[in-house]
Amino acid sequence: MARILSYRQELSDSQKRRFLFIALLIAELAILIFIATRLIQVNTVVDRVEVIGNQEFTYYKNVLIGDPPLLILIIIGLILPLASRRIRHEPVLLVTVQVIIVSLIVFVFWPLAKVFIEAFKSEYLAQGFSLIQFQKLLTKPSVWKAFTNTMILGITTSVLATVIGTLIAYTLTLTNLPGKKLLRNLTILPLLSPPFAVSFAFIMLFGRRGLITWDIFHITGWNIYGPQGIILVQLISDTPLVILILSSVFASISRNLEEAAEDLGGTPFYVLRTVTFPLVTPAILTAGLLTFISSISDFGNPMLVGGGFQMLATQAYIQMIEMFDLQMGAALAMLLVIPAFIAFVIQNWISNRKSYITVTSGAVTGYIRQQPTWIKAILYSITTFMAFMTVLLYGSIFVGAAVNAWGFDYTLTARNVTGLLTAIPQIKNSLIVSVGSGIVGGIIGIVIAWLVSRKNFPGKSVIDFSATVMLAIPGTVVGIGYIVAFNAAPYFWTGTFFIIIIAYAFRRLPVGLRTSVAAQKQIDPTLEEASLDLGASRLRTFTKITFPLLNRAFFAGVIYIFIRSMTDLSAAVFLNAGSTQLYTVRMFRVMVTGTPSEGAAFAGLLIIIILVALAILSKLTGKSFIDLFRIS
Amino acid sequence: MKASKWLRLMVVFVIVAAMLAACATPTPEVRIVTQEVVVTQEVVVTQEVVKEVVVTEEVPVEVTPQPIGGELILYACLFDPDKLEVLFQTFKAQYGVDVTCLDMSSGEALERIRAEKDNPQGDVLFGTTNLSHVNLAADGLTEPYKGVGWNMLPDGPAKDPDGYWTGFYYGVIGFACSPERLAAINAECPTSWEDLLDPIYKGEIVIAAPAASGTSYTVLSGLVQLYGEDAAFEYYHKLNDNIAQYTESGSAPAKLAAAGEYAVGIAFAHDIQVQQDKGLDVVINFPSEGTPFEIGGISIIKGAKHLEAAKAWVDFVFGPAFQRYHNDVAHRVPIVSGVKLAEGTFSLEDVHLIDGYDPTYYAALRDPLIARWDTEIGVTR
Repeated sequence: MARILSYRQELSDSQKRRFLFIALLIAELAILIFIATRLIQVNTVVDRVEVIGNQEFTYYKNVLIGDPPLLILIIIGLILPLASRRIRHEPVLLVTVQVIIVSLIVFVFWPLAKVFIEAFKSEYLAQGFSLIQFQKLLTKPSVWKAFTNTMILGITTSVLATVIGTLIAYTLTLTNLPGKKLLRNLTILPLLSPPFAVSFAFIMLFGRRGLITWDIFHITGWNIYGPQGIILVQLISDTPLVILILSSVFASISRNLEEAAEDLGGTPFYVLRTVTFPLVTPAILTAGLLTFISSISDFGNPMLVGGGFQMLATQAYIQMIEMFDLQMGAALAMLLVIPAFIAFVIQNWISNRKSYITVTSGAVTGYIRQQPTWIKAILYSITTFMAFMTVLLYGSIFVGAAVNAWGFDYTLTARNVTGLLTAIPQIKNSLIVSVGSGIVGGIIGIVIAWLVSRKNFPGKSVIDFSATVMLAIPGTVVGIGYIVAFNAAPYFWTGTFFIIIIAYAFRRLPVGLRTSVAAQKQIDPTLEEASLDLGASRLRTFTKITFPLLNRAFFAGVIYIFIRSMTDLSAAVFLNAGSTQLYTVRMFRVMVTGTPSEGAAFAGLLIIIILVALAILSKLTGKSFIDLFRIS
Repeated sequence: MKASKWLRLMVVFVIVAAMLAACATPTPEVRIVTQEVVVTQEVVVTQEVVKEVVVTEEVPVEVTPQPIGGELILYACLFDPDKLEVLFQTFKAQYGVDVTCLDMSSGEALERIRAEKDNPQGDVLFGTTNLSHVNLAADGLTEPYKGVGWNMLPDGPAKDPDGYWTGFYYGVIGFACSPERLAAINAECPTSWEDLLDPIYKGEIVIAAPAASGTSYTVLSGLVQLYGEDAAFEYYHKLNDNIAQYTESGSAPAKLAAAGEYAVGIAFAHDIQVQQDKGLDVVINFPSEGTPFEIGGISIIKGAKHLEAAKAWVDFVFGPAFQRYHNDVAHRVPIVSGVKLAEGTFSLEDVHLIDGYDPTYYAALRDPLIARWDTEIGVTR
């Protein structure tokens, strides 16, 4: 015993590291071999049967079933981090980087690559390379119209939603106006339902035969079908996300800095402009980017209130779902990816140019600021108006569900509600998928966020980019990509919960990641450095210092992914199968073909389910209901 | 610093190389490695027995149920799966098979069947216009089956000569009118295609875009049959002035008219009747010049995991239980004659079908006609 101990002591640090490193490599090699045997399999199958005379000859052949390109990519993903000395010297970092790179390759890069590969083929599932789809695409005048429409609409929605959302977030966190808690709960309510439910309720109230526009005011010339309708509806469904992101940042801004500026004689407006605003710039840009992409890739709302207004996402949806032309759809989606990509790069570039550190030990946050009365009046009326709209919209959903036929027959009935009993299996499926993807996505998000904002190693920006690129991909493309990539041998993942959970986890990863990164950027690295200097290991530092500070960001990420998965439609349409049919898919069908009351019942139930889930989560985590939403 | 720069370059290079490799690999999925003769076997040549099916007067041939067990997955559910539950229970009682019906549009169903061709998740493409079935058969994605229904139907547009699909209902186009909205614009429910051109309906007519919906393509091809191609497009140009919106969903016009959002919606009559059942105020008129129609088909997906159950279901669909119930609930016109019609529904005799219109023939013309519609009409929106 003593010998062993003394022997251990003789080992130098570098020797220990080398041992660990070699052990790691061996373990990884074993895992790799296991993956390889799963990814490439040889099957003996009947080739053909020939009958000569009265004898039957059966020819067999060995076929290679599998995905060699993906295996090669996985191997590259495992080897790449080894090239860096800095990564090699930190085993935890090495394994983390490897796992993250491989999962990004398999679950982000590969499904998208498969869509692009399909788009460049002359015929669906054919071989080789062809530009036929792009010729078809570029010669269509309707495509360019859809492109400009989409861009104008996306920019309008994004700018308006970001401005309104920022103002509301400021009102809710940094003013002393009454009823803030209630207003905050109400303004973020649209997050709890699929975006297309907003359109649906909007038509019930403000349609050509809406309760308010027709039954009450009898306006005949009124028309919400068109771009104006899409913008209004998207504003209501996208602003809550801006409010969420900005509220957390406003709440975490250190009062100390502003106080210092005020003590030095700065006017409130001057302080706002020179201190507060620069601190929230990255969050504003993130919010702007998210709303822009959400707007351009949304098809549920344009389908319901667009009135035939041509948009790229709806075009891609039509091409893929109605025209049976996956390639054309993929080609259109690529057209959609380009502006999203540009916005993404601009946002990244501006955010990375500056350093934003506000949380130091002993910082004072969330203080109420003083504003002139007229500013308060403006802020308060915007916020209450937004809250009022959501009350109206969601109120109409619950009232609509309780009456016979909204618009015609307002007698109370339980018919629509009892009709929901048939949807129990779909509710169960949606819950399994959403909880699963929330946990998976939350964990991956926080790990990548830690890598990106705390670690310095070559290829970091590539990881950051790959993890966030899903943001710019319309859900429909994600769904198709997963189907095309993982349906065939050797995976056979279609129709399983696994594929939906993974798809959602990676699809919503960017937001979990962004919030975590934003939170980490606000934490002063000196806290971690202090812990390390006092002798704590890196793992201990992460679990004891970094993670508690990120706790809220983590739960916010989980909840965000959970809610978005519960309310997603575009990817669900492709990914769910017989035993895994999801609730939103049925809900959308009911909304397109059923009466307003039937659709309202479906939407109402979904909102209640999400609220109950949130209540359970807040019980479990011991956090108050609304804190779960706050990212600080 | 140098190393990191070099590495960054390498990452980019490797990713590009991998992409190129992935694109350039000619056969990524299946590669033949060796080929060898393994087994010889005696063959028993059996005489193919051709069975004659005698169609009795009170129609459908009752099949003696043989318990099969297991499950069955139907793609592109005809309508609300809950309402079909009764039929699924009947089917289960006979065959012991659990049926799952997946609600999806015909396009989704087709895309999925194509995407899942190596590992089919569904067993039967149930419903949707025969256009889908024709396309799938052409791609070799369905399994021929000449069951009870196929043998029962006369040769003609209602079935595939090789048994790849079989028609099991008719759907006819009608005008859905909102009396309330019509009163507001002081107009009557149109009774002909010509009526629709009346400026009084300006901004009050909804129809799906043919590119987006089989329903609307049925209208387009029907009008081509009625007027000839050029005259049909001339008609569409005039009609375009009155159209409020081209929806993405085929049944949305029925719903929009029923909800009183617009005065007139052009859709399948059965979709309009479903709205009437819900207690909404909507009237159906049929165009006097002639009505386009669809034939709804059923086919078995190639490689179906539950083939026996699939065949049993295809036969079941032509049985009296299904045909009657389907008419009662979904209001589509039964293809099996002699089925007692539900109250308030109509038979083919009640409407004037466009002379000589064969939906199967127009399946092949879909792409050029829609391309023309898109460049001439679609572009104006």
